[in-house]
Amino acid sequence: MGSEAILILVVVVAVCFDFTNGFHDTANAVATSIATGALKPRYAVAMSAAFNLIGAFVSIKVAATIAKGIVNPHVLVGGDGLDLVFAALIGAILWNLITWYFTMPSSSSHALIGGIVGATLVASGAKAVSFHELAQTVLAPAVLSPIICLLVAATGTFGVYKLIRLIGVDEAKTGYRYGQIGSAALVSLAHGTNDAQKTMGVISLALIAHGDISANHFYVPVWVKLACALAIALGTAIGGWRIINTMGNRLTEIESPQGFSAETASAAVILASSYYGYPLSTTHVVSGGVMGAGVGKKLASVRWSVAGQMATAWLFTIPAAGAMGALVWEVARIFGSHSTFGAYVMALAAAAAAFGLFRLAQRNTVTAKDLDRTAASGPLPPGPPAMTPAVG
Amino acid sequence: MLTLATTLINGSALWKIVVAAFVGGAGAAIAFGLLLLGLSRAESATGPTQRAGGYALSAACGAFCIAAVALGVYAIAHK
Repeated sequence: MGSEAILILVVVVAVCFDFTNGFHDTANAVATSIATGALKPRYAVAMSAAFNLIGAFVSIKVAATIAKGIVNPHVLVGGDGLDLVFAALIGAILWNLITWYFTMPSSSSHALIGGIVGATLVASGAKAVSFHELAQTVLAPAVLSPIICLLVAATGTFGVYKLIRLIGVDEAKTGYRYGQIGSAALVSLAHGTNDAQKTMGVISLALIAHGDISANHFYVPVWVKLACALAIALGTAIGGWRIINTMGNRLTEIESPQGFSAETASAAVILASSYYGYPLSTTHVVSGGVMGAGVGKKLASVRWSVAGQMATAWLFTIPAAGAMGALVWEVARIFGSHSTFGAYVMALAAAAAAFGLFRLAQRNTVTAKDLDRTAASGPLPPGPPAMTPAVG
Repeated sequence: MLTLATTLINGSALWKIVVAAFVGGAGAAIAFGLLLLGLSRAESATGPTQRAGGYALSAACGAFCIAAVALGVYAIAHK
């Protein structure tokens, strides 16, 4: 009964994580389309939610790879495995909400991996974690992917602005606004295939730990697919306006040709990397793309101070989510090994922390109306003021 | 430092990713610009040859963009 109660809690918390992943990462696909006025904010997030939903059903290969090779699989079997997944999820959710409060785009995938690594370190020691694998499959791509995307987007933007001289500024901007609808849809689809499936993988890990699925015959039950797809789509539809504002307005002032270049560069880097076996953080890639779009049009038009704050948040994501995952594991253990009561206490504490962050965020809200640029004519109006407090 | 980098990064996959990203990413953005340029030239053309040339450029670049999207969807489905 005890382990079943924890399993149910883990599934609920995993779905909550997927929801936070959705609203945290909405910006990846739609920030530039909203910033350039290609789409109304509500329409943009609705379209992104629909493509995230479709993407979640396309393939389950990503689901089988979550933390694969990084954590010793024996650690994830049995009651300890359930507790560990629970602690990891709480750590990841809290980090997602903290970075959302500070308006910083950060990787939900890295938060999840950080949570798993942190909880594993305190549960089973350093031997249970492969740091080489962590560096190879997570850290190296995290450093390289934004740089590659920056260069691709800068090249695309540079080329596009050469052509715009021949096309005419107004015609080009209108044309690229239409193009952005397609490119945003593609990034949303790629995001759905990656991120919804990571949560599917986590729930499947919990089901393996509980003995409902054989570790040798991995599959994702239909109800898990449905729950995760709906959770990420709903989270996306809610719209993480705070992070959309940072990505679309604060990082650089963006026009539709730049937005299109950033999105196509991001989609190309994400899809090429995934195809060749390197699943990436969409947040890192898209941020690199937006910076590249700024660099490609006019040197130094990127606000590097904001980029620096984002890089700081990225740097801290794995250690911070890991520390929170470890803390949750340790505190839950005070109530006893595999204690249902301990797990519920930690879930309630996390819910209270989340509520507190939402209340604090209401002091400086960003709404869809603040970000609507579709009615703007001529030069885009400046974005809403920088959110405070900011990281750094 | 270089040794560490080579153990962490698969150079063979990396250059394929970089090439694919430049062709698909920067290529699609520029191709879309050429599509718009072709349409613009076709609309302002004074003769049928110029108009046909503009539309041909648009069609070729549109085909490139559609192919890039199709390849992207294929990569999503087969990763």
